Amino acid sequence: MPDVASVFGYLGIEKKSDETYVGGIIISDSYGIPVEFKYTEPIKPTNLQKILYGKSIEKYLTVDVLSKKLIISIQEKPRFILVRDLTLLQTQSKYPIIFLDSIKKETTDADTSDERYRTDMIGKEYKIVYVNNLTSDEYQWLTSISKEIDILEPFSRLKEALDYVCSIK
Amino acid sequence: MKKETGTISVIETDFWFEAGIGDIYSPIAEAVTKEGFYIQETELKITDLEETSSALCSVKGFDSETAGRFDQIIKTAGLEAEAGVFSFETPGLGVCISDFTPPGTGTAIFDESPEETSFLMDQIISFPLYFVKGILVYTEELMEGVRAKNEPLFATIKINASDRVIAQFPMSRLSVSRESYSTGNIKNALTFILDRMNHKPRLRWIGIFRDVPINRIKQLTFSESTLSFTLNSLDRRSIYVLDVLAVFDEVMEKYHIAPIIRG
Repeated sequence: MPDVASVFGYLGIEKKSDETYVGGIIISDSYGIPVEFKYTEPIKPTNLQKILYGKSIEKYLTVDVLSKKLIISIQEKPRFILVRDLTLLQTQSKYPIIFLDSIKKETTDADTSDERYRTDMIGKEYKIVYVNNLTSDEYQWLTSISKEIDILEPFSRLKEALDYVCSIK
Repeated sequence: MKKETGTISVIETDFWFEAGIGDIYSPIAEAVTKEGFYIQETELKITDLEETSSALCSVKGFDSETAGRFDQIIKTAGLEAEAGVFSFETPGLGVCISDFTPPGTGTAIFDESPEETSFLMDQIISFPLYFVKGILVYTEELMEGVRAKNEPLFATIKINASDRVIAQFPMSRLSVSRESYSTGNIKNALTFILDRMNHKPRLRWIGIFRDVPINRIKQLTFSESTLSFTLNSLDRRSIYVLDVLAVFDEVMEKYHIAPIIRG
């Protein structure tokens, strides 16, 4: 049984077809029950901003703006934050950020070829990628949670919640 | 710096000129903004510009207050010889004009200061005139609409918190193998359900689901081997998380759950 007092996060950024970006973070307990949820207002870059930032606008928005602000905004202290987008590993954060996905879903070599990335397995089902060292304690805790709950499921909820946020704006 | 038709598009600056301004305003069009200086998308209009041949502060076509501002602005101007850049300060802003060329002279100013300039008097006179024209472009809009922002472009993104938003989306639990549960514990759970029935049931096994917050569930449903539920609150106080056994009573067509102890 994992440490029930600890919490961890799910961070995601959605880009809609109309180029609107919205981000959210769920802080969850070890049972996958949310204890905190923060989301950004949907934002759509202006033409001016697109010109100024060029090709880097997506990374700038998702990593340097939305993800960073979301992580700063949370009140809980997660042991780590899970993401499903490798780009978000570049987010500056005082908490470890871990890319997590099923091994059934192929991740291209180009995605993980960055030498800063370390790759590992959680059991036989999940692949993790992270930038800084993951302590054995954190690794074991993540392994323990993955046995206990459907650890990818909150990502679906996060996406649904962000879709909802966009729909009501 | 990249110059586009009728538009300045540089790292920090992007603002619009009306078409047909002409080369006379090219120094403005090539203005290089200093760090932290940013003008939002604004259409700059050239209005009421009149020629003048007198000193710096003598500007026709404007009221005294506007002309006074020009005078104040120009007093803070200076040349940077090595950089080949003319710089001046507007209230709260710093602007540089590179390769400044007084109108009608074809001479670029690369001198160190107005006092030590070797330009002819005609050139010196024309210089502030031209400069005032340039300032006009800025000043007219600066005072009325153009805002200088000293912050990142996406600095105003608001972060919201809402338990209600996330609580309305169902969490799910996949059924787990009954191997983790003793026969005795499964029987106890079934007894818990049967004791609460006052008819002879016909039960169908649905599954065992781990870590269900039984006293926080608002809605609950089953789909194949998945239990989905929404929470009525994210309040963690007095939350009871238990494994549950779920069965379906085919007589009453109802689902029933009972707590089950692992081991």
